[in-house]
Amino acid sequence: MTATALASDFLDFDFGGRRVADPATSATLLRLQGAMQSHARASASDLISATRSMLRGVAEECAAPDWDGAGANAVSMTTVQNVERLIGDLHAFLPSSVPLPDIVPENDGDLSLTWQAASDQLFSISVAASGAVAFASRLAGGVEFHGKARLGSMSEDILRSLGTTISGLFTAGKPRR
Amino acid sequence: MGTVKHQHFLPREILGRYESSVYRTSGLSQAENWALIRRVFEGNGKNVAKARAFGPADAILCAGLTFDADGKPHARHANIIGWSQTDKHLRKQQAMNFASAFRYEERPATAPLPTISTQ
Repeated sequence: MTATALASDFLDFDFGGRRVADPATSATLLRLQGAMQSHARASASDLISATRSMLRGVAEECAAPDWDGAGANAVSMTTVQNVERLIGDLHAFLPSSVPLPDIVPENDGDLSLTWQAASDQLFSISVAASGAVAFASRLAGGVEFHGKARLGSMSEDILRSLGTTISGLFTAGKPRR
Repeated sequence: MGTVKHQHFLPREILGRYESSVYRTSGLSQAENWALIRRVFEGNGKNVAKARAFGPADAILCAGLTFDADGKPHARHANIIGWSQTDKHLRKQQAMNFASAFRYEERPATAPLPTISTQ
């Protein structure tokens, strides 16, 4: 098979196909998340408290291995605590106009926080149980901004840069970087 | 209405290589697509697919990735390969760069649910 032949193909990818047994829980979480994201935060503490409840819900659903039906690693409580720590570090650099992030589990057991302003404008940061942090983004004008860090050793400059990039998604014009 | 997130495409490391599992579905009807899902994903009696994502192979190639059409466990199966071997942030960026080209399709009412094993 050649690349040319593939280029005309359509690909299919199954997802959301968790070995779920309790779709009601998922639906409730989705509703909760949607409702929370539809309103701007009133304060920085909202970010911490709201994401904490969502985090716990996602972690509960993904606490056992193979939660996606395709061999995913379990999401550990250490990972949840690491995400809470990151949010605690980051919240000072996020204005209250920035909406709550989408919390998505990843197949390696990491948790990610994603802020999305449009289908092609988003910022996502993954946190591992080890404390490793990986972020990637697509910004206005097709600009990419990605990198890695480690919890506990992220300088104020790095946190400010991340906060500015995230808030820039939700302001008109070019992101403030 | 769901959306396709880049996280859905993040690869797994299998025998030292990062790969994401996909199926080539050109020419298949919706019913045939869901029959394929029943066979290859739900055939173990434990999984239930809530939705599928589909998009052009060209989007993968444009993101600098390629395919290994291994034909296992089904003739239409392939793996997306070419992911960064070293850094997760690069793999996230690669996935992000093509995920928006994919569309989300919730399981239609016409697709029968699999029988779930309780064991």
